[in-house]
Amino acid sequence: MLSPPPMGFELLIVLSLTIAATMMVIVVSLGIVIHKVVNTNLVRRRQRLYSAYSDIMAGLLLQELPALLPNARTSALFDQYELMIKSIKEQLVRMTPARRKHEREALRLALIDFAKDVSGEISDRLVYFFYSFGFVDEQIILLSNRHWWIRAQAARDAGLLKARRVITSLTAALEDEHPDVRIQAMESLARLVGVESLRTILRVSRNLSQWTSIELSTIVMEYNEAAVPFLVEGLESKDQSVLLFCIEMLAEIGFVTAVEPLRHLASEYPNVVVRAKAIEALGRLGDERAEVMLTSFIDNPFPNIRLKSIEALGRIGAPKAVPKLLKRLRQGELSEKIIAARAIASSGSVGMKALRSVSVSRDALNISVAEQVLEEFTVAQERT
Amino acid sequence: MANPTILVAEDQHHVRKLITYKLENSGYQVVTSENGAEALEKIREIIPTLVLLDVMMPLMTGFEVLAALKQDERTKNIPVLLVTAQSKEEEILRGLELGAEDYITKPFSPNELAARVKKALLRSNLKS
Repeated sequence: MLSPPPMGFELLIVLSLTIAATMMVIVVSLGIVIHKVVNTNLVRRRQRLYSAYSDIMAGLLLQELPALLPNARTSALFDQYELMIKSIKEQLVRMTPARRKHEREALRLALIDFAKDVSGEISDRLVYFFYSFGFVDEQIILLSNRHWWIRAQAARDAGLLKARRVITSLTAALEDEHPDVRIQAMESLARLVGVESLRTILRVSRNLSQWTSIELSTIVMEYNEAAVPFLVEGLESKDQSVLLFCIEMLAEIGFVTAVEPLRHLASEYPNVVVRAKAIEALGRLGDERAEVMLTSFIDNPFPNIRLKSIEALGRIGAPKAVPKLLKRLRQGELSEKIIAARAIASSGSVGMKALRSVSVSRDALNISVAEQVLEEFTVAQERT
Repeated sequence: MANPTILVAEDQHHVRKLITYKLENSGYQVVTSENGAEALEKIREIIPTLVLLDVMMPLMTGFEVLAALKQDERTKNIPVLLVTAQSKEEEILRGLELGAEDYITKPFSPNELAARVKKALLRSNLKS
């Protein structure tokens, strides 16, 4: 019969495990502390480097340059810029690769921060420095990085560098798989190229998400009327999301040169959703040129087209459409009756008279709708 | 005659450096602050000839500093230039209503900044 192990043996095992666990905790804690200290030192070092390069660059950007002779070569100015940074370049070359990496990163960040905040001639110097230090080429390479956040950052920084060499890469980034990269590329292209970037952006973009549309609309609204020709070009897009976006923007900007292209879309485009959107946009533009076409859509077989046309006529105010609108009020579904009644009421005294005649007709539902809308308009008029 | 003293209140290091260098090269004495509270304290202490105030600063915004300056008898007549982000029209209007002399928007040209400072100082001299 085997005897049980002595008590002391079990105690030894427990003690050993305890000591091992304690040692592990101590080692891990020490590791965390050391990591923290190293990180803190690294951050402080980066901040010191950044401050140092900020100071140096501030001085270089403001340095007065000798005046060039009238017959000097165009590149003479660049020779002056190159001379300014020659010593920095020489120092970087002499550093170890690891140190050079940190220093270049600090320098790049300092230059990008200046690029955000300055304009004028020193902005041109900055662009030259970006090229000369090789940061532009680095950005182009980073735009192909496998991590989307690095590509997005590169796309953003490319715009700040104001270096036209990145335009091709940014255009390619408009088709990136990640939306954040695409959005940054759009913003950077707008910064580099101006309003004409919309041509490329709208031609290349596909499947605009709601978020991308919001970001792009911010860019478009900054250009306002200047964006209209490019939005009209965008109406040729084969991508429905881009098409709908362009229609929405044209309606929002409200420039009347959009009326004819929108009329063409409303009457000719094969897709009902797009036609309805174009009709809505025409209403928002409020141009009377659309009245005849919109009136012809009141009896359209597609409910969406009918409703949007009636709404649009209400916005424009169309006395000549009142007879057809009355027919819709009498024969349409409830939602159509209400919209038609409002459109009739918006058509001035002719419309109001027609609506009052409905309010004394025999159909109880029509009477109710007419009276409701008449009251709405009376209250609205009293308020104004 | 002593060179005019300009207080530059700007939290971003690189912008502060750029403005300081430009103004010093233009012949001014420059005192800097990194936040609004420090700026207000220094202004009350040294009574500079002109103040350059960034709008977005920690501890106290440029607007708060400006409002405090205009309420103090000792500092209400010091001309103040606001440095504001472009397209922030509401910031510009608010600053002018609070009593700022002028404004400059980012991104800015240091030459333009120096010209505006000079103009503000001239106007201030004419008033006094």
